[in-house]
Amino acid sequence: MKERNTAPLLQVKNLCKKFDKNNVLNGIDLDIYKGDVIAVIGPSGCGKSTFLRCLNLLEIPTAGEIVFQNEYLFKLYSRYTKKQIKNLKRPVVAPINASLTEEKKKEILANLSALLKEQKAEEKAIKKATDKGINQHRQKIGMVFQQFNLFPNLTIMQNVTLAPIKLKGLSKEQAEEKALALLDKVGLKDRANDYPSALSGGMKQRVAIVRALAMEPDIMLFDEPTSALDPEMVGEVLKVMSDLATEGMTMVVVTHEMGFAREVANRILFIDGGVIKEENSPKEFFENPKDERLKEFLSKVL
Amino acid sequence: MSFSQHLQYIYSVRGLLLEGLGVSLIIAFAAVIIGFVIGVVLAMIKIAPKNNLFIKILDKIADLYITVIRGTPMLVQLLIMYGVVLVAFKNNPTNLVVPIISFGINSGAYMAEIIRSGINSVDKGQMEAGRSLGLSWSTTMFKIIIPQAIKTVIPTIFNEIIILVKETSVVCYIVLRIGGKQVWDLLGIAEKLGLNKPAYYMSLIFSVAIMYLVVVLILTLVQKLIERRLAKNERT
Repeated sequence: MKERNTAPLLQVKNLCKKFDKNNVLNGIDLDIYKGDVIAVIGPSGCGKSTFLRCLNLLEIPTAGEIVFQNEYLFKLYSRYTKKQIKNLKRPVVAPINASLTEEKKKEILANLSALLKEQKAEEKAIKKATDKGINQHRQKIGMVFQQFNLFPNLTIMQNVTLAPIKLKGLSKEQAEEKALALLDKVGLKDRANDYPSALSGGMKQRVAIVRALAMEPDIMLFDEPTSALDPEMVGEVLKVMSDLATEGMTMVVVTHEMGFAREVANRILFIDGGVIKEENSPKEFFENPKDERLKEFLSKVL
Repeated sequence: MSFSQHLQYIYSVRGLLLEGLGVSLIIAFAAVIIGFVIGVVLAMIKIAPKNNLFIKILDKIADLYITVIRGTPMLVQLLIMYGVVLVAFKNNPTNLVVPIISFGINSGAYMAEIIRSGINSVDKGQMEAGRSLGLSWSTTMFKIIIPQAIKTVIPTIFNEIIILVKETSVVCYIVLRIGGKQVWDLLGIAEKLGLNKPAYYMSLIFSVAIMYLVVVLILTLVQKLIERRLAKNERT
């Protein structure tokens, strides 16, 4: 990857996610810069969707940091577990402490409590900022789902304008005007007053993209946007997405569409076993894969 | 005694029976409103993200409430309310508040479970979509989730309302007063009249059955109308 001068838009450090005892993400590091179009591919169950959902905290990571526009979206400490602390506080029980002198124990405990205090205060501050800020941050992070998730009780127009009216303080007229312009761009201006149930899958997904765009996000996350579509509708959605990429939108796309990844993305990630196994430019990625697992994967899907 | 004599007798006491029906309906509908409000609040507590101690405590209280209310008979609850909990209101000139609160509290527990299941039946993706736009939990809940949940819970809610309307007939176990004057609910007045004229007792009971049936039919009609209205945005 070429070096960049600007700070990353979204920074992910050592991101981990556990579901019960099942480790899904095992430390993902990634810097996303403005204008990047990142395709994330990998076998099913490799954690690519979970990774994407962690980026706007639909899933809460179990460790790691996410920094968005230089502000912490998420940070978690895992330096001491509760059990470790308990054991240190009960010197008689913990065998490791038996060899220590009284003074040494005191010193450790004194330091520990200071450290813990510091850790707690910092955690609290970040948690506060996260809780308060997450809704604000999410306004800047658009998300498109595999199952569209349009609101069936609202018309297309209401689907698109709900969030801008509620959160950006736009008047109904302003929001509708903007929505119409966006709908026009994806060729659905005349469907504004329909309910989602009247639309085909491809149309629904285009509306879902417009709904996210109406908030004027700085980055768009796509979670397998074409996987639930009939084959003949995949093209229309990919077209909208590549237009978006051309306009300079920063995008992270979890996809199985290798053609799209090759032509539209500027970076491709291969995730397997909860880690990034390979990251490269599309050309290198497809023509000269280095990771063994990736070679195997590509031989199956291409 | 001929059939027409029975009819004549029932006709002659129609005013008293309708008055009784009125008392029953006042209790039932006031209780439905209280029950619905309690139900919504409890359901919200049950499904809210448990991210602070306050919500966790409320959640435990809601659990206890639902367990106790669903675990004991309505009549027993009414007698406890009348004799202990709301004893201060018992001798008021107008003490309808006692059965109204008792039935409302009872209904609330059932409504809570109905509303909770309705909300849970809405696709998880809807909340995620709302939240991913930056909308808060409560905005998404009230603008997106609840309108969809209402559609699925209408039949069960009406089921509960119908059960409640009929269940108010156990109120004849307590003494009711409006403005200092004793009043009876529909079954209560029928029982009282039947004591004086045992020959007409069964006719009175049949009349009560028919009157309840008519009320329930009207409620069913209302349910159908509401369902039809709500189905509007599903049409294409």
